[in-house]
Amino acid sequence: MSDPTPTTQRSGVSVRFRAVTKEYGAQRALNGLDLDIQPGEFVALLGPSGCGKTTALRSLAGLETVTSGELLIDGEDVTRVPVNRRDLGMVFQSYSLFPNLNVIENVEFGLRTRKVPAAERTARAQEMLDRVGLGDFAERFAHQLSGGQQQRVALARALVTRPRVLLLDEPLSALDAKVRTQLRDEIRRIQLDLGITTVFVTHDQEEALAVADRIAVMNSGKIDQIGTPEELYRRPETGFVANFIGQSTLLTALVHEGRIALLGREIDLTDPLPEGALARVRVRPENLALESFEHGEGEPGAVVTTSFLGSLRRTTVHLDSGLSIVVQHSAEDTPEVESRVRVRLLQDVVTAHVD
Amino acid sequence: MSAVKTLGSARKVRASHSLAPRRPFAVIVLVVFGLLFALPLIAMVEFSLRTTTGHGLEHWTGLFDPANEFRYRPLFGGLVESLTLALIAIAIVILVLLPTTLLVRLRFPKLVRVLEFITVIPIAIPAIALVVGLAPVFGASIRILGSGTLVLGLIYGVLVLPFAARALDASIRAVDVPTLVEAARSLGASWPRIFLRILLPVLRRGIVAAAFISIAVVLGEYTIASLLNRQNLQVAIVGISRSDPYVAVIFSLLALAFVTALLAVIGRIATPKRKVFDV
Repeated sequence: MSDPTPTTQRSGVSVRFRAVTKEYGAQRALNGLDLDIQPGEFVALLGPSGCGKTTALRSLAGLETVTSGELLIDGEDVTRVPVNRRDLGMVFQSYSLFPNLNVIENVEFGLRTRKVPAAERTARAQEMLDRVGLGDFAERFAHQLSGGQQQRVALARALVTRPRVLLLDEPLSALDAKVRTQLRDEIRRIQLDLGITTVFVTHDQEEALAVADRIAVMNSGKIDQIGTPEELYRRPETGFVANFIGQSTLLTALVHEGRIALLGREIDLTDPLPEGALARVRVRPENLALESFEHGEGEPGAVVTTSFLGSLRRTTVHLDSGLSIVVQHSAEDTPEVESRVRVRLLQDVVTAHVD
Repeated sequence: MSAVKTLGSARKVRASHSLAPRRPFAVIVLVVFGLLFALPLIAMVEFSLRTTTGHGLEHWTGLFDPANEFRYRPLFGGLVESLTLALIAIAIVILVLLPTTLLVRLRFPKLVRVLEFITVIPIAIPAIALVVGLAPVFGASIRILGSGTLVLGLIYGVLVLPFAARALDASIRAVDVPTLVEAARSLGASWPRIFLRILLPVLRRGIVAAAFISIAVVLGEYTIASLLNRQNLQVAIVGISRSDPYVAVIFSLLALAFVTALLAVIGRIATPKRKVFDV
C-alpha cells in the first residue's frame, strides 16, 4: 500500500494563554493565567493537585469554557472554537480507547472524522502504530492490552491526525514505575521527532524535569515560575517552587556585611541583601557533605535516619541547633543512627530570599 | 470445559466457608419453590390439552382453524395492539430516556440522583392510582393525538421507566462514558457521530436489555389497559376466557413462554462471555 502523502514533519505552532480565568461557582481554578509556549516546545505544567494545571490543559483543549481571557493557537484566537474543531491531539489519564473498536480502528477514528480516504487512513494509522512500537497489535481490542500499551495506542490515536498541539493529561500516572519512565522517554523521543508543540500536565516533578524543555510550576491557578528544568532546580524564585522541585531544607541567617553564616561558614550571596535582614536559603542534599565529628568541619549533629538509594545514600541529621537537614553522600559511607557527625555546606555562593 | 470445572470447585469451596445455606437445604428450598411455580404451569398445559374424550391437541390446532377466525379475532387484535404498544414504549426508551440519561451523566452529574428518583416513581405508585390520574389526561390526549394506542403507548413508556432506566444506567456505569466522549470530541467527532459510532455500540447491551424488558412489561400489562377500555393482549385473554377458557390459557402460556425467552436472552446479553471465564 502506498501512502500518497508521506508524513510531513510539521513544525510546531505557538500556544498562548492570555489572562485566562476559570471559575467554578465561587472557586477560581485559573486566576489570570499567562503562558507563552514556543513552536515545537515541550512544556510541562507542574503542581500539586488543585493548582489548576488540568483545568488549564482542558481549557486549551476546549473541554472547559473559560470565564475570561484568551487562548491563542498559532496566533489564532480559539477561545470560542468548539473542541472538535481545535485540531488538537489529547491523551487522557484514564484509559480512553473505544472498547467497541480494535486498535487500528481506534487510531483511524480521527482520520475518519476528517474524511481521509481509506487507503491513506490505514497506512497512516499503521505507520503511527509502528512508531509507538505496537505495529503487530492492530487487530487487538483494548481489553487485550496492558495499561502501557493502551496509552501508547492513545498516543498514536492523538498523533495520527497531525494535530497542531499535543495535550497530555497525566498520561503516565496510572502506570507502574518501570513502564512510566519507559513511556515517558518514548513520548519525548516521538515529540522531538515530529517537532510538535506539547503541553504535558503532571504532578510528578521527576517526570517534568526529565522530559520538558520548560516547566511551568503552578500554584492556585497561576504560574509561580516558568523556566528550564535547570533554572527551576538551581534558582527557584519562590519558596513554593523551591519546596516543590527537588528536596531541600530551609535555613535562615542574618545578613552581615553582604554575607551570611551557614553551618559554621561565611557564605557569599548571589544577590545582595540589606544588612541585618533575615535571609532564607534552601539547601539541597547534594550541596551538603557529611564529615567526621572529630576531624571534620561544619555544624555538629546526630544521625536520625539513613537510606540507601543505589548509587548514593541520603542521611537525615538532627543538628544541635535544632534543625533537621538531609545530606546526600556516597553510598560507601554508612553512618550509624545516633552517631555524632558534622554537616558542611559545599557551596561558596548561595541564593537567598527575604520574606 | 476447564472453566466449568473451576466454577464447580469454586462453588464447593464457597459453600463450606460462607454463610450460604448448606447444599441439601439449598436443594430442598429449590425443589419446593420450583414446584410452587411449576404446578400452575403444568396445570395450565394439562388444561389446554383436555378434550371431551380425554387429552389431545385439538384446542391448539383449533387456533389456526379458519372456522374459528371470527371468535379469536379479538385475541390476535390484542396481540398486535400489545406489540405496537411495546414498540412505542421502546421508542420512548431509546429516543427520550437514553439521551436524557446520557445528558445528565455528561453535563449535569449532580442531577443523577434526581433522575434516578424520577424513574422509580412509576413503580412506587400503584397502577390503580396511576389510572385515576391518567383517565382525564387519556381522554384529552386522544382528542389531540387522535389515537388511543399512541396515548396508551406513551403511558407504557412511563410505566417501563424504572426497569429500562436501570438497564441503561448499568451499561453506562460499566464504561467511562465522559472520557470516551471527550476523546472522541478531541479527535474531531461531531455529536451525531459520537452517538452512532461510539455510544450506541458501547451501550448496546444496556439498550437491548432495556428494550426487551420493556416488551416483557408491556405484554403482561392488564390493569391500566382494562381500566382505560383498551383491548391489549391481556384484556383480550380475560375477555375470551369467558367463552373459551382453553384458548385463554393457551395464549397465556404462549405469552409467558415468549417473555421467559426474552428474559433469558437479556441474561445472556447482560453477562459478557469473558467475565464468565474469568471467575
